[in-house]
Amino acid sequence: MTIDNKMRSADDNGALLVTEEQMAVYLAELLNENAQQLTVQTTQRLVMARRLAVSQLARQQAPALNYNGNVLRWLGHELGDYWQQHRNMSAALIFLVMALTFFAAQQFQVDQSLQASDAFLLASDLPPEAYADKGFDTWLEANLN
Amino acid sequence: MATPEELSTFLVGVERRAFKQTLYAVRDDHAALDIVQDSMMKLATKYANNPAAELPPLFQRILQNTMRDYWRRQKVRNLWTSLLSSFSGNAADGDERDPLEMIDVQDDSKEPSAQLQRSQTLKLIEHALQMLPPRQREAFVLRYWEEMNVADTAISMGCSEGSVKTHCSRAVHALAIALKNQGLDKAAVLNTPFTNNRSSNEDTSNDDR
Amino acid sequence: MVRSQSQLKLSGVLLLALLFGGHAWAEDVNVAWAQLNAAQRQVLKPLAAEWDTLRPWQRERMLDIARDYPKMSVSKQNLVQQRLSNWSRMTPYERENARKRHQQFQSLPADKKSELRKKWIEYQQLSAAERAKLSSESPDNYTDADLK
Repeated sequence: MTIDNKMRSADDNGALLVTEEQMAVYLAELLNENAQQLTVQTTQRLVMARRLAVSQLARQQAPALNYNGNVLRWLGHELGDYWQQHRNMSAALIFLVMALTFFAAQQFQVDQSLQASDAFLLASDLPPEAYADKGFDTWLEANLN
Repeated sequence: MATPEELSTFLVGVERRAFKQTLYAVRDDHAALDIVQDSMMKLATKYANNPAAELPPLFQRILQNTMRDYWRRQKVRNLWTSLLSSFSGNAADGDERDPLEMIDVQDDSKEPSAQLQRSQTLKLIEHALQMLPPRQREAFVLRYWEEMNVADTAISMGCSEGSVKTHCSRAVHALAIALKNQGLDKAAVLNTPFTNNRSSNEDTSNDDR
Repeated sequence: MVRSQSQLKLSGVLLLALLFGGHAWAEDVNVAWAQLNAAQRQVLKPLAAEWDTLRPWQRERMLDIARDYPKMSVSKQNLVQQRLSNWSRMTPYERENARKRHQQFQSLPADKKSELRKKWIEYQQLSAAERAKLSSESPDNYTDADLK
């Protein structure tokens, strides 16, 4: 962390404020280091919350899962209970499945992102305002059959 | 579009300090964990399509909003609790506090070792941070700890950039005074050692700011 | 407990594999205008004045455009040049929306695409007031209030 003159405040106590600034930066560093020392229980809960959020994202971005209806329903049920801590093991299992599927789908995803560069959007049949215009969207819904 | 691994990397870097920052604000371990869990899930579900670089300010904003929701619920709950207890004739439960009120800091009067002194100093700092008015604490955390720029901080806090600067300078000044009253002048603060060698910030997502 | 520990270890290993496998991190996108090469500057000319004020993630997107630009036909390149300024001025929300819509558009058959082109021209005949009203009626607006 560096002091980057976040605030310029020129007054009689100019020199004093700079030192307070330095103190503030240092306080933040101390607090940040201190934040690493959490109880094991807290750390575990944070890790679990993170994994659930990440697997949720993976689920949203990997439609391949939809084809396996049974698995999705089971996973959906599990994710719905994410407040319950004793599902440690099952959550780890879910994450494993998610990670495997994501890993397999990743190649496909990389190609997709290359293709979907904004240049193609800009050079397409409609100007970008057309895609972004909410009014156009609303109007289309009302006027298309 | 942020990938799951980008989200994971970001959360790995931010989760511990997010928990602490929330704890300073709500002063309840379970509530802080719930708020952080909730915020992570909201980030993943609502902002799946945002670029990875937007995750830091978005997450902070979600965190602040979720904390505010918690406070609102707490205030209502506390109001009912105190109403009920006054009807039933009991003294107000000492543990039910308005989270915006001050709390007592624990007093560890033991033989000072370097480690204990350091941890006592940190307790004082944490206490001083908890004492700040919420807006000042938010501004300090976002600007100095999260190292967000003024614009993103203003969005996170839902106020103007001018207000951010005001809250910030007041926070810094208040912290300096509070610590000085506890016997820690600025020099003493800057002399507080770190536990290990000062490690560089391991949060790689900082690069995207 | 032992079983769950080894499962956690497995997922930990896999996570490492994910992190190191295959995903090339974007190059440093904090480049100033002066540091771009001639080809990039030629493509991104409309953004010359504002480039240094753009945020890293905005620059990243623009650099992606510059990367794909050379592969395009001249007529497409002209379109990119014309539309780049407007694009850069949109908010992140608008651009994300636009990307979604464009993706949907691309998946349409040719006759539907030309129908939409005609509709866009038709829509622009509406008065500005009408268009503003339609825009505010849209349930899909991203505002700060939604960020909870």
